[in-house]
Amino acid sequence: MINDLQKEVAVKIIRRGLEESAKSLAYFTKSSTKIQLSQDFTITENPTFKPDFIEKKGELYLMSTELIGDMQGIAYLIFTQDEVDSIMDRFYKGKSFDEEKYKKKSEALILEITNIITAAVVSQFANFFDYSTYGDVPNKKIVHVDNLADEIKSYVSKSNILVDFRAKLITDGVNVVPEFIWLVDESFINGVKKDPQIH
Amino acid sequence: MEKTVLIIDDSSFMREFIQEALEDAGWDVIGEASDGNTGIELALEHEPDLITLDNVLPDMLGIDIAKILKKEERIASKIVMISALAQDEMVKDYKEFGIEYYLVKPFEPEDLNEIVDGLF
Repeated sequence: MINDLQKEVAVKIIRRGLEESAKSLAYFTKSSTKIQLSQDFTITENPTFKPDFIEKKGELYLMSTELIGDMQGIAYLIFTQDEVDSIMDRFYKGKSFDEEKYKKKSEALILEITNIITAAVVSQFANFFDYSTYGDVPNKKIVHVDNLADEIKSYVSKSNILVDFRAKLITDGVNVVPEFIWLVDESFINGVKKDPQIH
Repeated sequence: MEKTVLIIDDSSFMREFIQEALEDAGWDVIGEASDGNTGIELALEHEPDLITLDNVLPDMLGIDIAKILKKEERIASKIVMISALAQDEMVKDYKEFGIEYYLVKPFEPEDLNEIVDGLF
């Protein structure tokens, strides 16, 4: 479907987008952040999610942002409660909140982080491919890891997903390693094929 | 007299962040809205000096809100769009939509205040 050169370009574009998202996460965690692509990308109408496709355990924050416009699909960011607590601690250092306020503030913070991190990637794709595309308002769901694959597959089954890539954002000195899953339609491949503007 | 600002953003985190930043600099936050329609209503009601405007809201896009408000002769509000989207077409062409400044998230409170100071 795409040749080696186009694949190289695709990986470069994905990396560039993720690098921008890592910078945004670093703003909130106050620590340097690097990316680790757990798979370059796959072209498939049926992405597989084996039970151990992520390393996290227990109840997870499944944050999702649907893409709207020339490029369609969805981006998931997955955090544990401990990671959310670590980010809260780093961002609001020295401040304490009662339980109810903490819950509200942590939810608002994690939604905004999702918005900013996802938009950083979307903006890079839009610029490379000269697409008009953006991420919708983000959503949060608490999902047990055992049900995560089914949750994601339910989106795949009602869309035209063709490209799947996954990465971890690894913070330095903070125990925060959100997993990023991107599922996008064929517009990504079409964009790679039409000579994207890699600055 | 304090200058007035209306904050339109669906994110409660951002509304609070912007509010704290501007109030620390002496602004009077006269209203907040988490969607576009409420934002337009509040803008028409209060005619604030400044509007900070998110670009992606649950019911409409910020650029459409800016276009609507700029058509209202009695609204002289300056608009700072605050968005996580950094598309070239948005960042370069914001003035076409009647927006005075386009600020990409994340940012520090001082960044916002410096930009706002430059507008007044």
